[in-house]
Amino acid sequence: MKMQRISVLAMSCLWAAGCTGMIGDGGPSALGTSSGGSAGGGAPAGGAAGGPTADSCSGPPGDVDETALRRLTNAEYINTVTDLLGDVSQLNLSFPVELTTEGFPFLDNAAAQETPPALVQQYLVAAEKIAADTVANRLSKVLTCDPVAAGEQACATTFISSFGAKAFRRPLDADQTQTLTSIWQVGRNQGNFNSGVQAVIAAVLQMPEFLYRFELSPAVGSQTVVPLDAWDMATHLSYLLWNSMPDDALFAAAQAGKLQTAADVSAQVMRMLNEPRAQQMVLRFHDEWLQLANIDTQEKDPNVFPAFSTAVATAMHQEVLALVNDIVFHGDGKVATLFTAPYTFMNDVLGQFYGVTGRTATFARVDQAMLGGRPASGILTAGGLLAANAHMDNTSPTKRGIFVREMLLCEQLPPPPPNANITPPVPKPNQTNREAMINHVANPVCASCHRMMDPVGFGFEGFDASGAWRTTDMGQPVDQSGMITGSDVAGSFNGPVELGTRLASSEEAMKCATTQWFRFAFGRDSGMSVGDTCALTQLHDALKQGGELALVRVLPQTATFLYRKVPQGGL
Amino acid sequence: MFKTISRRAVLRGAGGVAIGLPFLEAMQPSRALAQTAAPPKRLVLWYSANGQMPQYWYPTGTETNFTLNTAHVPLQPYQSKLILFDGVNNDAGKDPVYGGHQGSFAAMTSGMPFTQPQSFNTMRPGGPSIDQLVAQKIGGATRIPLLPTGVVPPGSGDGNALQAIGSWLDQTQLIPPISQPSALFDYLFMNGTASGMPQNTMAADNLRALRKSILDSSLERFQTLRARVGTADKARLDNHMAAIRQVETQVTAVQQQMACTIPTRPADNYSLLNSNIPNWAQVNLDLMILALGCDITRVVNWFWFAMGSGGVTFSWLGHTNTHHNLAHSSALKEMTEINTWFSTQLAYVMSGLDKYTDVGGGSMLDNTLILWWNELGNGSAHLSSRAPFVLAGGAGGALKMGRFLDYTSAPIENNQILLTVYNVLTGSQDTTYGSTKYCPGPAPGL
Repeated sequence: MKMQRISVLAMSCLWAAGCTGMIGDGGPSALGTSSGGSAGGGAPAGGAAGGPTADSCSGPPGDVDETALRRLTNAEYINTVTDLLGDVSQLNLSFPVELTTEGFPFLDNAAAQETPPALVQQYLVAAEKIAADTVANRLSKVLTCDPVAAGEQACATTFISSFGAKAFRRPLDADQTQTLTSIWQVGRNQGNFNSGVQAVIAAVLQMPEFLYRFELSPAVGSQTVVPLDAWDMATHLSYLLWNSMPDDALFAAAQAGKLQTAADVSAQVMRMLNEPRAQQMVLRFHDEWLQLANIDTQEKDPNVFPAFSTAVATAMHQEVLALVNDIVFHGDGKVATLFTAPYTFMNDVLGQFYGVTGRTATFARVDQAMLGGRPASGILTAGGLLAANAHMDNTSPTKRGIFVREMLLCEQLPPPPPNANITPPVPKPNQTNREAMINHVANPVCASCHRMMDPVGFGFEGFDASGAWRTTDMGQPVDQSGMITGSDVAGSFNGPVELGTRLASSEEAMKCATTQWFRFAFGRDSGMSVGDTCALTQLHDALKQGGELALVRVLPQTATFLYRKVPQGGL
Repeated sequence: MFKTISRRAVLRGAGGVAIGLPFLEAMQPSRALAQTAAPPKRLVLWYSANGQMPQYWYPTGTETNFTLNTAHVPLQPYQSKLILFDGVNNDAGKDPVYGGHQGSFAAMTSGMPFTQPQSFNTMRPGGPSIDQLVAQKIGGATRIPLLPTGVVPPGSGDGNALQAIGSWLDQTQLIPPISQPSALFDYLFMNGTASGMPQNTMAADNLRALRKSILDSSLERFQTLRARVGTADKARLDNHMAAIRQVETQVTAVQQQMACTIPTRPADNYSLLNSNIPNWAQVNLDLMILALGCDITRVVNWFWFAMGSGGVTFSWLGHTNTHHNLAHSSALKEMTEINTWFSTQLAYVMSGLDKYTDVGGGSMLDNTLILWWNELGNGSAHLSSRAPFVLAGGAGGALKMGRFLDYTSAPIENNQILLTVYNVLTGSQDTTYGSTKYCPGPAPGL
C-alpha cells in the first residue's frame, strides 16, 4: 500500500539546467500592462540549456499555465466568514474532512477538492446559522444605514452593494445585484427588513463567488494571458499570505487603483508579512508539507514505550513548529538549516521524554551539547517525524526512507510489482530490525525498490519507534550507517547529522522545497509554460540565496501569480 | 401515505452512552400506524478490508443446516437471518490487470473492470457503486438519499484520501464517508432536527421557500460562472451543482415530521485516535442505526477504515501490527480475531435494527438487507477470488435467509449477487449488473 504513488509531472523537464532568474528586482515592471497574448519577451530563449534565460523571465510572460479553480478550504472558509461577519466559533460549524492525495500534501489542492451533498448541506446549515447569528448579535458590522431614516429599499441597496462586494471580493455586477435584491425581497416579505438582510447573508455564503476563488480579470480582445486586475490581485495576496479574504486596506488599495505597479504590490506584501497571520501561513506550509498532523495521532505499544503519550505527541508536533519558526523568522531561513540546525526546542513534557532536565512549560531552545548524546540536525532529528514514520512497536526504515525521498526530495517511487509478496519481516530473537529488513529485502524483486528507501532509513536507527534516542538495539550497538542512492548527493553516511549535511548541499532538496512552496501557493503542480518555469527558477534562486522569507516575497512577483491564462473552453 | 416507524421493544440503554443518551429511547410511536402498507426496503453496505482466512470463515454443513465458523460466532443469534457464500469470485478485479486493493475494490463496487490501470492510485470504478444505483431508486423518499459513513481514522489510505472512499457516482465524483462524529451528527440532524425544519408550520414553509430561492439563485450563478472556467474546473462545478440539486430537493420537500428525539451532539474534538476506534465506532453505529430507525435515510454505505484498512492496528485486541501487514503475514489468529470483531459490530447493528417495528408490524431488520463485502478474498494472498460476501437482515421476504450457498463446484461472480440485491431492493427485473461479461445473470438459487 505504502509504495503506490500518484504520478507527478516529470520534474526533470521543468528543471532544465541553465535557468537563472531575476530575483529581487521587483518583478514585472508594469503589472497593469497587457501582454496582448503575444510571445513578447517570454518565449523560451531556446539556448543550449533549453530553459528560460534571465531576459526571458522579465517582462510579461508569453504564456502561463491555467490556474486551478480553488474552493475555499475549511480553514479559509472559517477565516473568511470571521473577517466578514465576526466570531462564529460558538456555532458548531463542522465540515467534512478534506482530501489530500499522495505526494501532494496540501489542503488547497484543487484537483482533490470534492463537493459531495454532505458538504453542500453543511454550507447551507452554516450559512443559515451565521446569518441568523449576525443579524441577532452583530448587525451593525454589516449594516451601515438606518432602514427607517434612509427608507428600506434604499438601505437594502446600500447593504447589498457594500456587503456583496466584500463577500465576493469584487464590486457587484448588475446581475449579482439583481439576484441579491430578489433574495432580500423574499426574506423581507417573510418578516421585516432584517429578515431580508439575513436572507442575503445566507445566500451570499452559498454563492460560487464566495465559495470559490474565480479569477475574473477581463481579457481584452484575443488576449490569452491576462494580467490580474486589482480585485483579483487583492484576493490572491490575502489568501496567499493570510489564508483569508482581503482586509479593508487591500480593498481600499484596489478601489483606489493602488495595486497596479510592482511597487504598490511590494508595499502591500511588506505590510502583510508583518502581520502574525503571515507567520502562521509560513508555519502552516511546513505543517502540511511535513504532514505534522500525523504526529498528533501517533500511538505506540505501551508495553514497549510506556513513556509515550498523547501529551508527548502534541509536544513533538510543537517542537517541529518551534524549530521551523526559529529558523525562518530568527535564523537564515535556508533549507540547508532545516536539515542541519544543531539545536531543537523543548518544553517540560518533551524534556522528560527525551531525558533533558531543567525544562519549563514554555518551549525553549536546547543546543546539541545539552541533549545528552541525542544528535540534533534540524527536522531530521525531530522526534515527532521519527515517531510518525515508524510502527507502533518498532522502527520502519522503509517509512523513514520514503519520507526523505518523497517529501524532502520530491521523488516518485515506483509501485511494487503486481503480486509482490510484501509481507513484513518477522525478526528472529535477538535480531535487530535492521538485520531483519536486510534479510527481508534480499529477494531481488523486493530489493529493487527497497534499496532506494531502507538504506536511507537505516541512518535513523538511533531513534526508536517513539522518537527517543537509543544507543543499543536488541543488546547490540546501534548501527546507523546509511546510504542514499540515485540522488545528487548519493553516497554513504553515518547517522542523521551526516545525512543532513548531504541534504543541505543537495540541489534536488532545494528544488523540492521550491516545488512544495509552488504547490502550496498555487494549489496545483507546476506546468510546462514559460511563466511557470520562470516562477520556479525565481523561487528557487530566492530560496537558495535568501531563504524562505525571500521566497515568500518573490511569490507575488512571479508570472504564475500575476497573470491568468484564459482557459481552454473558458473566458 | 404516512411513513410509519415505531419502536416495539424496550430498548437497551447502554448503546448511547458514548454520546450521553440512550437515544434509541427516542422513538415515540406518535404517528398513526399504517399497518396495511408494505414496509420500505433498505440497504446497508458493510465494507471491511483485507479478505478472510478461509479455514475460519466458511461454514460447514448444507444449505439450510450449517454451522458457523469462528469468524462468525458473534452472529449466531442471527443465523436464520444470514446468507453465507463460498465460490464467489471478483474477476473484474483482475481486469485488465491485477488490481490489488484498489482495482479489486473499484471492480467490486461497480461490477465493471476498473479504469486507469497504470497505477494503483489512479484505478477507478467503471461506473457508479451499487449504493448509488439503489439510492437512485429507493433513496428519494427520505431526506438523505444515501448516507456514506463509517470509521475513517486520520491518515487512512496512507496519505491518499482516495483510498478511503467507498462510494462513487462515477469515475470523477467520489463521495467520502462522513466519519467524524460531530460532522455525522450535523449531517443527520440538520438544525438539530431529523427533518431539518422548524416545528412551526409557517416558519417551515417560509424556510423552504427561502431555501429554494437561494439555491436556485446559486445554481444560476454557478451556471454563469461555469462558462468562464476550463474543462476540468467545469466538471468540478458540475459535481457541485449536482450536489446542490440533490440537497435542494431534500431540504425543500415537505417531509413527514418525525418524532425522533435527537441525541446529544458529539464533541467537535472527539478522539479519532486508533485506540479509541471501538468507542468511536459505537457512536457512529448508533447514529447510523438511528438514521435508519428515524427514516432519515434508507441506504447506508458503511466503510471501515480504508482499502487495506490503511494504517489501522487493532490495538484493542492486543495487536501491534497493522491489519494490512497481518494479512500479508497470513497471521491466522489475529486475522480471525479481526473478522470476529467485525462480526460483533455487525451483530450489534442487527440487534439495533431488530428493535424497531417497521411499517406493517415486522422487524425493521427483516426489511434491511446488509451486504458485508470485502475487496479481497484470501487475505494473505491478496487475491480477488473467493470473495467473502455475506448477506444479513432481510429483503422483506424477497430473499430466503438462513442459508449457506456453496458455489465452489460452479463458481459465480460477485456481480451476480449484486444483481439479485439490486433487483430485490428496487423491485427491478434487471438481467445483468455492471459488466455483462462478469454477470451472466442473478446468482442461481439465491
